[in-house]
Amino acid sequence: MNRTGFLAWPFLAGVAALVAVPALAAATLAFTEFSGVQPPRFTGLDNFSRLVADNALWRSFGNTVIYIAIAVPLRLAAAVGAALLLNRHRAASTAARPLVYLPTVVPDVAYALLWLWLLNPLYGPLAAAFGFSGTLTDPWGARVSLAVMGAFQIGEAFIVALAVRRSIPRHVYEAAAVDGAGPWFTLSRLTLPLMAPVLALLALRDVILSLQVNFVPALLLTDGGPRYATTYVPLYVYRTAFRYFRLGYASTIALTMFVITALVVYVQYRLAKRWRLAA
Amino acid sequence: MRKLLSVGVAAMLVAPLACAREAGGDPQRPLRVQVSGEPEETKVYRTMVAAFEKDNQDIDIDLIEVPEKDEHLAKLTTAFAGEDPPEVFLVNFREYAQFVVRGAIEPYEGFLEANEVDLANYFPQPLEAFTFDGRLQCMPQNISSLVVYFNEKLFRQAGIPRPRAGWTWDQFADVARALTKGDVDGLGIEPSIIRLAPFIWSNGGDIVDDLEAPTRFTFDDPAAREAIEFIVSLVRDEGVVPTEEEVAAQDLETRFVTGKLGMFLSSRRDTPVLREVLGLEWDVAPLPVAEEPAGLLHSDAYCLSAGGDPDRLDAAARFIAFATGQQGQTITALGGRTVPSLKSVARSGAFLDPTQPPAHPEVFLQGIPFIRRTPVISTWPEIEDVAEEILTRAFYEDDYSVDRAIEELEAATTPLFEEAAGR
Repeated sequence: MNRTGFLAWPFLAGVAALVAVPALAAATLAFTEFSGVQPPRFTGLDNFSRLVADNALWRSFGNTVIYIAIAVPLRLAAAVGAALLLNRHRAASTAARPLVYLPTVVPDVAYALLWLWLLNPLYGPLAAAFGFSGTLTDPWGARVSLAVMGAFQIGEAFIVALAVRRSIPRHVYEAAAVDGAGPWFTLSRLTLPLMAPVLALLALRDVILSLQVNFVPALLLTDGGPRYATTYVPLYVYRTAFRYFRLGYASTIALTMFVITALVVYVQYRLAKRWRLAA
Repeated sequence: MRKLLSVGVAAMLVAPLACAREAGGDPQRPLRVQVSGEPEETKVYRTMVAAFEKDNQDIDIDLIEVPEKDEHLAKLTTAFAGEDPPEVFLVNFREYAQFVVRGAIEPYEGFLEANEVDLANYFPQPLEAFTFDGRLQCMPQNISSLVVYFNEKLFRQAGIPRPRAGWTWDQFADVARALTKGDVDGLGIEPSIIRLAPFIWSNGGDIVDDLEAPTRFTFDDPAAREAIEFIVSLVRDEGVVPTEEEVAAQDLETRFVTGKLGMFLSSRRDTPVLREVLGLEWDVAPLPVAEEPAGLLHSDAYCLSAGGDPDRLDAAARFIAFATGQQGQTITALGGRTVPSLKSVARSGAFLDPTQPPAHPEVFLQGIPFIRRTPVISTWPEIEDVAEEILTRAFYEDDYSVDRAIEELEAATTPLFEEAAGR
């Protein structure tokens, strides 16, 4: 083993202890009936049969897909948009960059409570300024609100997009300018295609992230409502496990979602790869 | 070197587990008592624990306060899964069955004699509610019923006298209408089974087909349907109840405290919070009556976690005897949180304190003979959650009829009743 490999051991041990072992344990529990109180009882594929017929779960899955469909493009557009706007070496850009990152470092609970006030149907500023009263009581209002809320926590994607934009050589733009390219042409035919490989990676990462980050807002802002519209898979798993004492079945859901996510990411990866090759 | 590293990694993985078990089995460790509630509510438990420790110098108590009920239950689940639960926890009768069927509770019945607990001194309703499989599982601390909290100032301004026992549904609706002016709503009521049940019972209906072994809701029964329609009409047709947006913006308790709500239905648990509000004039009245008076039991009990060290179990049982005995219940009654389950304390000045609101605390006691309960089954919490979503639609969506709500309730909850029957 070389010296670099040796230095990786503490990290790998941490991953093994805090991620791999619990994940393996959860995967094992997926084949049991386990309430958390009595020892797990092996039930084979019973939990998977139940899962297929669990309408509430598939409704949560549908909600999660809707969340991803709204949140991922929003977050990506916000991150790339902010990166392009704040790319130049100007004092205002330099001052604004930390502001874009700022919401990302706010603790999730504090951030959710801030939005609880912003979205208050009667006394919140959004209701007062724009008359949005159904943000938390209308199913689509709540879905969009939670996705919009997530669109401000884009710090890491913003940094990556900014770095990629900066890596595009200046002479490429100078050549385009000489050829008479306008701003829209430059953006659509030059900047975005050159950033595309990394954007695809960011989209991939954001899909995975979006499967997890909606738990806190769904729990604190809407409690999964209204009409289950914001009961996403993580919240459903949490309730199944810790409110209804079905830790075994909750593990089955988590394992299934892991497999589905892996498949989606793999398909997305293949598509992105084919697209890059075609480009 | 590789072998050494492997051993190190294995040690890192096992060490936390070993430590958890070590800590759980430490005989010197304080007994943990987990309760849930707002800070105003849990304040009384701190006082009671201090009194217990003063009288029992050999026992230290670590009081774990959890603000939200869901968080309380989640914390208990993880503690049981980690084989390190608190020795004592407080839980509502509607939620304890899921612990009993999973073997998480050590029945308190076996500790009654050693702690000289005479059940004859307690109201029978909560004892019956906490009896499962023929054994008293947990020791109830209170016996609250649902009452009408009302704003005396708003009543006075509208020229309405305080409601008397036996007031009718029509009078109830009239008062709600009279109180509804400007940004003030007459009545606050949540779309839940535990709010509707007393109205259904009072109208001669029932909520389930068999209280001991329920298989379905019986809301399609005419008397039950009429009661639901009455409440829904107050919300949708009369407009005397805050809208969904108003409740989302400000919950019922806050609306009541800020003078935007004339009446709201709740148990004794709101009393400590309301007592803290300066300038708020409020009192309680009994629920209105259709055919017969009816109320819903609200009761929490101290439960012993099963499987612990016998000595620690004995010490925990001693704490429960104290908490539910004369001294413990007097302290919690003085704090305003509970309607004592011990008859002598319920009839004492500690509970009927004339210097503290509500001015008519006897309303809670007068309702006791008419108190009924919901089924004690393991899936009841989930049934309540499902019902709340459906009733919310019936309350606030004009095109969602009561009939449809009843149909969907039956479809959504019957499998859960079946699951509970299979345990």
